[in-house]
Amino acid sequence: MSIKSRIDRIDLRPFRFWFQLFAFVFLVYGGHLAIDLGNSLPTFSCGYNSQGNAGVCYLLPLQHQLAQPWTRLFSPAGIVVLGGFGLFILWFVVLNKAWCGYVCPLGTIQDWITGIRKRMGIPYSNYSDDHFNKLKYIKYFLLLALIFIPLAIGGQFISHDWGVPFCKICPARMIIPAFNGDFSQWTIDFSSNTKMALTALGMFITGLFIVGSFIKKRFFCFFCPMSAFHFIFSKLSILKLKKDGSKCTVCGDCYRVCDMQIKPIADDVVSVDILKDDCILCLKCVAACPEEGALKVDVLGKTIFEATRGGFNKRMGTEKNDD
Amino acid sequence: MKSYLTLIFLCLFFSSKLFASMPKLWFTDQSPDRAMVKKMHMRHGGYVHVEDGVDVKQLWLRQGESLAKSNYVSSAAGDYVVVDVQENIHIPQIDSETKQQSIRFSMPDEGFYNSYFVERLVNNNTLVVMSAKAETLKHNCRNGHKYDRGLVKPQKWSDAPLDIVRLRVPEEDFHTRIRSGTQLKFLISHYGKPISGITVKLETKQGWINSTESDEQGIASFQIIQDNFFDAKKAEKEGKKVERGHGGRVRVRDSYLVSAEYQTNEAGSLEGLAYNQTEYTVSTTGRYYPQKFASESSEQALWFVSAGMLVMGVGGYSYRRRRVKPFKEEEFDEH
Repeated sequence: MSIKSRIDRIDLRPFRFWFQLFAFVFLVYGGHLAIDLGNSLPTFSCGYNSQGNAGVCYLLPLQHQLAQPWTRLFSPAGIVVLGGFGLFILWFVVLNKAWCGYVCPLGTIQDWITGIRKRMGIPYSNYSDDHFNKLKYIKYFLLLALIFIPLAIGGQFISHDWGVPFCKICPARMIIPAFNGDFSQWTIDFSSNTKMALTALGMFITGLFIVGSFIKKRFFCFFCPMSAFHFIFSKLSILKLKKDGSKCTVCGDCYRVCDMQIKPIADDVVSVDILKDDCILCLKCVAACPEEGALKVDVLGKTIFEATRGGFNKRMGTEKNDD
Repeated sequence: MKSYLTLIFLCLFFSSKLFASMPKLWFTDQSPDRAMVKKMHMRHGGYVHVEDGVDVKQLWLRQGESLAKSNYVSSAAGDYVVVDVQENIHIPQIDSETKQQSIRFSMPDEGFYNSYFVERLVNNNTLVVMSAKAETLKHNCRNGHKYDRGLVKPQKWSDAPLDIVRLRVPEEDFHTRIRSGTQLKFLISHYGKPISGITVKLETKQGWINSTESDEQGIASFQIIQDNFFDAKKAEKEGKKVERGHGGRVRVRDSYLVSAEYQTNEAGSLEGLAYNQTEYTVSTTGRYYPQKFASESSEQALWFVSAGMLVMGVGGYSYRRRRVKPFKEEEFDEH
């Protein structure tokens, strides 16, 4: 059996579990081993986890840099912002949105919470189509806010108390340092009204996150501005999720396994590049597809993993039927 | 009655002169030119110029009785020395473009740079060796935070006539701020050797003063006062000037000045003037901030987390309940 056939028959669930666990330990504790991947990572490797992080989520330096005075930001000194952004793109093009499905520590924590729910036998929740289509824009709103609020600080329209506004409300700030025993972010800052409101909202969202992840798979990813940011540049990536609509029978298996409830993965038989803005590129859809070559993952145009009947039967435990 | 009042006034006048502090000399990185400040870059170690991509520090000398009662020095005859991160000695460039005398030196590497100014003069048969010291940090978050922790240690200059070295607080890194309540320790050394029994004085800009003596290891300890940091908004409403950084950020902090004096019986002559004793003085400054937890509450935070969990729990449950479709038996008439 060729290497490609072996990959197509891989049992994705344990592979992903161990990959995520490795990425989590690497990013959350790697700093203790002096590992430093820089400040432009396209994933929630929280900068507030200063004791252990092996690199910093790009959203923190981005907000920080955009809050510079405009005289500096829009001068040659502002090239620093482009430098950070360039590094972010370099990291991003390698894995595309698989940064979310395989590397993001906050995503991994949500998958672990989902695992607990499954063991407890509690069914998960989904949004109605109507709510899904309305709520999906929240991540774009947050992305715009995290860009324009720092710019407004730099232009001296609003106070510096608004600094790094998304980080103030992001649950990763509270949850990821806690894995290093650091609970110092679990506070409300009363030093100004703005800080008080932002940190209180951050704590409230942390509460939503804990329970939300329990009842809805990848609850937070649906609202994540990093996901929206990824999607803007996803066309640049060397890793692509592709669909051959002529081979799809619209059986809906891919939709049913999708943690992000992406309906077009099943319904859309026209698009070739099937990556949607909510996708976390976990590849569960490819693994669940029974149709030969209907869904596949390409790197630089070369298919590295695709849906095969053999792979489907092996994963479903119905391999004998294949013979 | 009038004579009594005159006597009291004279007593107060002379006692204030008697107990007045000797003028001190120290460095500041606050430019006297506000237009220049706007062009400078704010780093963790304060304002810098950026020239050819390298941070360049500019320091001015100030002199006075205290931080509040002081002025920039327009000209000073003495020697300037900068000790870099690798403890190499440099002579900094003296900037003559500004009215007030200042020095400039580049800080290419991350870590602490120590600047000294030493002035020697003979006055009343006493050689006065007056020193100013500044410890400035070069750190840019862009360079990452996985740096060698050895860089946090204070630099030494064994030729300093009298030196004040701030010892590091536990777990100090480039982001550590000295806060109210912190136990600050200073090592007092004379040409590199710790000296005990030296009176060391610490005073804040708001006027709190404390003094102590260096112990057997030459260490003087102070606990930074739990200060009442002012209400910026209230102060501005009252028409008072509030120091603001870039982006309009209010500077909720205060400065402290540490000084030490040391007298010896060293005799000699300087430029033909004989002296029979020597008096060394040194001053350095630092900043301190409010207690981190003075304005933060974990208890309130847990209330908000609980509220979030409750809202999500109840909301999620009711959302599920509302979407459950009641069982309805469908009957088909097959006839």
